[in-house]
Amino acid sequence: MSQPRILLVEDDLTLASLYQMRMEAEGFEVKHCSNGEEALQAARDFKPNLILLDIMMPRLNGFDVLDILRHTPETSRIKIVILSALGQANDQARAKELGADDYLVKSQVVIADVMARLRQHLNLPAKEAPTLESE
Amino acid sequence: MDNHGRALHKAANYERVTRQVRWLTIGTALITIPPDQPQSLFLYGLMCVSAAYNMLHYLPNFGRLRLLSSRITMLVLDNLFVAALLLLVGSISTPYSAFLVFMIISAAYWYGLRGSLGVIAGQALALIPTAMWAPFKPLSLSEPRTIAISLLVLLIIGVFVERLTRAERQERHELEALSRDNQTERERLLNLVNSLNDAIFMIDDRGRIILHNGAAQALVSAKGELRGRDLTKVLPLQRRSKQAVSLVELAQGNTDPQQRRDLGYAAPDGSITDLDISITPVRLGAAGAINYIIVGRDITKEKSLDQQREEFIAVASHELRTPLTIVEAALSTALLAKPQLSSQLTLLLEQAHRNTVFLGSIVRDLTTLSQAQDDTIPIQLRPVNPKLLLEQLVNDFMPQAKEKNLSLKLVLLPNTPSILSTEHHIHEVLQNYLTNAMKYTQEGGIIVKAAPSQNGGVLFAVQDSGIGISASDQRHLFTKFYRSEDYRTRETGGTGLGLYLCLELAERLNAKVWCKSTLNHGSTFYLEVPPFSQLQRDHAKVVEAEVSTLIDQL
Repeated sequence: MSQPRILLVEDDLTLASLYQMRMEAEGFEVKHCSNGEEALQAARDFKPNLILLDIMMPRLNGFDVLDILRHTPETSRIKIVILSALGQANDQARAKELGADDYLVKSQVVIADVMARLRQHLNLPAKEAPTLESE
Repeated sequence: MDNHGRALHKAANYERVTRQVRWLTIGTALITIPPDQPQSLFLYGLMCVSAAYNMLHYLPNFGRLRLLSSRITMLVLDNLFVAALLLLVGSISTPYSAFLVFMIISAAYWYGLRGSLGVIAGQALALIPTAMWAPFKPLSLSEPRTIAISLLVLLIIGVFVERLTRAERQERHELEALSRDNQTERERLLNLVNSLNDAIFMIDDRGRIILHNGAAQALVSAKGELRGRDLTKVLPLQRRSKQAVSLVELAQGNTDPQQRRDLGYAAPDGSITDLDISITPVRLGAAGAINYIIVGRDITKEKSLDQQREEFIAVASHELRTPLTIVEAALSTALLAKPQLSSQLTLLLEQAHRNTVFLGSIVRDLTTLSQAQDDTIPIQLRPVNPKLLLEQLVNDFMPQAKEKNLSLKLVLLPNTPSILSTEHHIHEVLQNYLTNAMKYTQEGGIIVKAAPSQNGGVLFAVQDSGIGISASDQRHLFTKFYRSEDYRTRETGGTGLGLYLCLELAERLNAKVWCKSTLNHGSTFYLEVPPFSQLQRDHAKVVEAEVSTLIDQL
């Protein structure tokens, strides 16, 4: 089985590199973009199974990216999980209305929760302790 | 002295004085009657009868003989005595007629104008026929006797009137002194109330100002007399969210004192004075209408300090979030390399990770708290379906329950209504309850319930079979940073903010939180949410007001 592809859209580079390292350790193929415009391009070229999308980003914000992806036939069926610092109920409601599959608030989850949620959306079994390759 | 005692005292005094006057009258008559006149013997006889009657008054039990000792009997007998005396001396034209003055004063003393007119009429009726009948010639008196009688009678009248009215005068002095004291007391109170820095208003049950102090006048910009004006108009209040609140409506129908710190006075120039307001209902007299005493203290400075503190917490907790997320993710990911790590290093990393997660939960609680306390953020109201809400919660907690081998049940009573509220807040409160229940329950199970509440809303409950909470802990449960002394709870991590947060969130929703628990037998935590929040009702009022102004304009 080929590795599931995940597009990581996150403008905080430290956090992004950590997430990338973690997701690769969990056996995903990962591509990272740090703004909305890049993300739209990568969604077409990289053909991810799932997009982990931040909202507050320079140029194009996450809501706009989500809206465009859902209205583009070739990307409309990609799973999209929002991972944002915005915790307000109306932000969550807006993301759901625009067609997000899930909404995670950064302060309310730990990285292990995010991984578990990704597996759930990709219909993968919960994985026992993945290992990090030693340098 | 009460009224009854005063009347008794007055009667006894009258009786004593009359007795003394009788002696003086008899004495005067005996001294002045010339012994050599035809009617002298009859006159001495009359004096003897009179003296005998007066002696009766010294008998110890005489007062009990109502027929002889009553005031009216005394008056009638004395009048008969005077009438007989005048009859015997032969004419009203003798100086003895001055004795009539006693009778008139006595009658007037007890029965007023009616009494004195009665005496005059009675004596006239008795004297006119006898004057025409004239059994005796008028007593012929020498000039010195006439002068002596007149002087003695005048003297006796003077003493009589003085003695009789002494009690009245005393009473009047007492009343005057009392009224002076009252006046002084009133002035002292007014000075006290006026010297207070807090604004004080007293309003009636319709909200009209009855009384206020100087600070109240200084607080409001309204010029002129405040008494009689509508307090709602004189002192318009609003929340921080600019929503107008009527003080009178807050007061009305509330029999308990209230205190509010969330309201500010909106002056006509647009400035806001934050107030600490206490409303105390007072009832004047048993059946009197309810009045309200409203005390307002300017807490603008305190409030702005509070606000600065809250803003600091909000900003600090927000800024802490990103670094914490990174540290957690880094530690969690580093721990993936566990197999290659020494056991010591693994232990250190795990400790660091666990505490980072804990720190994250404190920061998260602080953020939620500062949001809950910030009433400038408008509350979002949407229909909330208790069934969906609880199902989601139970689903979220099921893995944890299975792991701890606890049962987790959902009980939803029929007729549990949907409500207009903020799902997010209700969810947060119940999630806190469930997290605690999971933490403190080692065996048995947890039941999550929803039922219709008495006020038409929903009563949520989370019941566990855990370690329970002691009565002393229960009192402080919803206080900031409170953690039980129970060693069993010390073993589990907690920020001490969870239940305080629940209380704050519930207040935002106008909901109530409380708990019932028996030590070692489990606890039940409740959340009672009204069918729609207070804000919604206020909002409905605003809309109503807008519509009516619109209609007025048409």
